Amino acid sequence: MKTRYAGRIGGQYLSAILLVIALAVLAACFAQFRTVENLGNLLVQATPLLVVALGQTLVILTGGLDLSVGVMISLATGLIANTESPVLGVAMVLMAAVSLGLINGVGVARFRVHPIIMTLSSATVLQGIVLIILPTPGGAVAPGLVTAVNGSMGPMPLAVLWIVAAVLGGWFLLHRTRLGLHLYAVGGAPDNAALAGVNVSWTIVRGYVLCALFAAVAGIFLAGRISSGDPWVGTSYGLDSIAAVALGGTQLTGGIGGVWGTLCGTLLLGLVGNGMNLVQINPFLLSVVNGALLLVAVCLRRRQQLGL
Amino acid sequence: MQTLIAARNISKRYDGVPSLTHVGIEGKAGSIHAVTGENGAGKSTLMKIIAGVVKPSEGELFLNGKAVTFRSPLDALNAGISTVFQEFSLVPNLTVAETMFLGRELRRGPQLDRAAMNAAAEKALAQVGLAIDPRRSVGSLTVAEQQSVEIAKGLTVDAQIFIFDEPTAALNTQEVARLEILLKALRDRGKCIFYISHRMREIFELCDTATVLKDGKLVGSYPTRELNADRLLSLMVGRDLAQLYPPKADSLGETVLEVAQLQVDKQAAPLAFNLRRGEIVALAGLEGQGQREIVRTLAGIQPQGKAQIAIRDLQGRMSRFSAGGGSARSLQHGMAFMPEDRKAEGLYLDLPIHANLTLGIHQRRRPWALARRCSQVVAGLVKDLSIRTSSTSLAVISLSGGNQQKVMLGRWLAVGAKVLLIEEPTRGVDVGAKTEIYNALRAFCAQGGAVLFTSRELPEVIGVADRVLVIKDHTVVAERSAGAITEEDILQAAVGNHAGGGHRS
Amino acid sequence: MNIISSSSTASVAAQPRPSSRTLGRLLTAIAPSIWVLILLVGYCAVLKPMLLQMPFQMVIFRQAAPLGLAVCAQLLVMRCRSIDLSLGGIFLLTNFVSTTALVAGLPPQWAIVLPLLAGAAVGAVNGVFITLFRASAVIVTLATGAILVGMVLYLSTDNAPGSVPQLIKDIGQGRLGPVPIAGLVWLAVALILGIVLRVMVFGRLMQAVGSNPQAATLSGLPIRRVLLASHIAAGALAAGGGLLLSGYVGVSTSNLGGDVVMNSIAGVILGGVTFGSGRGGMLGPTVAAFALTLLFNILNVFGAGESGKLIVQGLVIAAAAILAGMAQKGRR
Repeated sequence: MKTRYAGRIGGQYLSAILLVIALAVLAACFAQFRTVENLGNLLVQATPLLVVALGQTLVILTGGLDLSVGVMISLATGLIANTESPVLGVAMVLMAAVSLGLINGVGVARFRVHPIIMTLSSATVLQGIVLIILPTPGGAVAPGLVTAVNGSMGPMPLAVLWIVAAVLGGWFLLHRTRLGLHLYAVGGAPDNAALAGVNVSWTIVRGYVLCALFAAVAGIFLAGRISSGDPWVGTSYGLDSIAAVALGGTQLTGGIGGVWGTLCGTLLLGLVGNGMNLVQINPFLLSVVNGALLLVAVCLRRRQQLGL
Repeated sequence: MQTLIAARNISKRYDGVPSLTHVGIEGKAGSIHAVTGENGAGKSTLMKIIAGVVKPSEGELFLNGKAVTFRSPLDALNAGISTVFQEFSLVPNLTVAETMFLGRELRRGPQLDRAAMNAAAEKALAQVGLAIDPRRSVGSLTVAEQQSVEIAKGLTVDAQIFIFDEPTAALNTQEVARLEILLKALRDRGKCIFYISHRMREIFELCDTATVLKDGKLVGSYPTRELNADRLLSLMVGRDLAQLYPPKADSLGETVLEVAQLQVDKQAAPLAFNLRRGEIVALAGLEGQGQREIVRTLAGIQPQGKAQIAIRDLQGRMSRFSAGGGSARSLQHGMAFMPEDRKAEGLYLDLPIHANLTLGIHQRRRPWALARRCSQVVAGLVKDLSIRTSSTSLAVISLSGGNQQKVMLGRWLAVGAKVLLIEEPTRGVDVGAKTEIYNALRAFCAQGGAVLFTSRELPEVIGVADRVLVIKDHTVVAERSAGAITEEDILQAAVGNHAGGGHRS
Repeated sequence: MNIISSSSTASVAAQPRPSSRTLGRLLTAIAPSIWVLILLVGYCAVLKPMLLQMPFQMVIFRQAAPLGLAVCAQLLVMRCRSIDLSLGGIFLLTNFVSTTALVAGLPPQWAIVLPLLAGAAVGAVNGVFITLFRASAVIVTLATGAILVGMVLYLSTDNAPGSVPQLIKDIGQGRLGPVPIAGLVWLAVALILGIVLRVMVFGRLMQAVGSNPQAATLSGLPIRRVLLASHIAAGALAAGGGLLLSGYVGVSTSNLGGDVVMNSIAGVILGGVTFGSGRGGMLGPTVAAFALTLLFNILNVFGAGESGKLIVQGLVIAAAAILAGMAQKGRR
């Protein structure tokens, strides 16, 4: 469905429609859903996934994939929980994120390693490092951070501020800066972009660095949530962030999609989880449902190539 | 008139095969300068060098008298050279304004200044006569509109030199007229315009100078008022035919291939033609007139291509099928296809030579069958085609272009194909290997096969084929036996020139 | 009439490369895993000769068997330019299926056949999504893996841990003299697979599809059926690996096959096969499975623990992938 202005905004409308339908269904069927408390809960729980999915969107727009975001989140909780000074902790987390992003980006752009292999291997190494820093869940998180994450302003949880900041930040980056335009160009037509003078390698590297930074922020939030560090807490976020992005209409081949779709995709996943909670379904089934949703999402767009 | 750009002594080699040899050209201010020659003469390569897309192997460029080197097209653009190629360099998922300014975006602080870019884009688009919203996505534009965007891009840079590569190929009459007004306006403002084209009417109505290239060498630069269409065509062709070609078939057999209702896509008019046993037929014409699509439809790999095919085997049995069912079906019936880009689409470069040769045999058998070594077949092919290699276990990538082409040919010879469909049988192949390939094709025909090929090289078309079909706009505009046609005839028919006196139409 | 006069110039292009390049080609012709194994054995010989003793080596052989089958599975799909990230889920699935009460009530052969069929079915599902819907193999297999893990964990939440049938335990734990049966099963499968791929037409088709999918499509190869078949076979092989591992563990467990995916990819890449490389036989990846297991055991002996293992794993894959990329660039 090529409309005149669709271009890189692509199929994000579909995800918005699905979101509205899901909201309507849940609101109609479950009284508990309609409480302010439940909605607040929903938003707080969705925040880390949203932040990391926004970062994943950047990388997927260039035609790549980042499977190391989950471990980055675990690392963030580990560093925050192990460091006395919250400021130092945050600084270390951000530095680690930049390093991870640089390694991933250089491996993919310069050495032409396939993104799956590159980010899977960096994830593995990083998980090993996380286990050295924090072999078992524990540590303590500064109270200030805990409040910043779990507190509320009246009925509205502070997490909403995090969400707004992340979404606005992502939107600004993608639509107002030169880097955002280059990310789209590299994903849409890398050869033509190079002809126009875009530094394709450097753009890809910056994409991975920003993705790792978003994952780092998600991890900092999560540390405040669980008030401790956990070396395995981030594991499911790798796949879930890809699911959120794909459900939101961003194409895995690159160049098409954006922030709003990812927002819808994340909220959709959150609604599904919330709904399953309300019906008291076994939490293991959640990953089954998420996996199935991902399969559906990925079949909606026919690609040219086969295989990878 | 002042010389804006000069190229001197330009040579370019690809893998040792020369594409341009000691070519020079001068572009003057206030001039529309035609660059012409037959397909493969080197026109695009020369212009790509000036545009900064390709680096010359030898030679220099001078801009306003000063020597320059371009490391990228952006360099050339910033130096004031704007190019509109046949394959556009737009990014389809961006908006018009974004793609026009990609790489040199206008900014206000850290932010993109979309308002300024849209305004500038709108202004430039208006100059080109295109009234579209610069916020539209490039992918939603027609080909003509995209071309106008490319031109407008050059205007935003206030380029001094414009290069157009076959700009009217995709335009209708109205759009062509609008383009011509624009070009004349640019010329009157003192710009220099290089105009690659074959269309005689455009060359003589628009251009004041014409530079002719032939086989990568400069024939000459002439003011157009001193030329006419016939003279220009004869400058483009006419060379000594080296003794490259084997003798033609002296007697042809029954019809071995009947093609009917061939449609390349829904809008095209249906075509029909036949091939006889032992015959080699060539599809000639300018680039992009449909030859490639016709061959690919017969091979079954053209999306939306359809044809009704009847093919007769050596015993005289006819089998009918519809092409468009994929390459496997066409191959099953005996139609083997050799693509132009053998490296990307035809060969398995890191596999050994014997694997490439025998794959055609293997793929016909059940997957669980034992794959025989077929060393005799391989040895036979290597000998018959004179494939030069120290061992058939070497990867195909180690071979020269000519030997690679022979391997691709050998695969289908080994399989007993009835009809060979070949795109550019000797592209990137040295002279010695060319002859060997032609001989192999003749041998194939002598044993009861038939060949249909497309080629840009007119001498090859006339030298190898028994019959020539000239294709223009997806229709056959001329059909002649190869013995009764000259290069000029082909070119005349291909450009649709009926203005020359005394020529058959 | 001999028209060919320039045969001398034509043959220049096919001259053998200068000898300085031959060494490099020799290095890249032998799979990296063989170099790694030689290094590891040398290291042991010098610093910890006790590790080279037969009993220890046999333990490693047995340990490597499940991974070895997983490497076979991954090799098949990676040769076709695809990937299977659901191997861990298949391992878990076979453990679950073989320990259910249903299977316990059936004749013992079914305890082997049913999980293998289940694995093949998962492979078929993967293959259908990849070939029919042209979905990305990464996403599809990630999703099916997650679905499998979730299903198995859900279905086993309220059930008491079951026991693996005796036949499978015998295979997983038993020995023929000093040699573990599991290892022999692995070698037999790898050998058969290697021969089959070398000798059968299917092997040639797979080679071509992996080398140049575009050319394969244009020349009429059944590229989709080759991909589908590879994924089905990979699923069955992974199920076999899961059975070997379940046989050793002996009971139903949810902690099985967590790092199979990573290690299988590492094994294939170390074995000299990357996406889009048509070459690469069975020997390299098979040696790689053994070398990796040996490496992990050496790390254990030195007290490296889980974290050390992960770090080495990741570095090995990254290094192998980067080197493979550089070798391929040089070749083209």
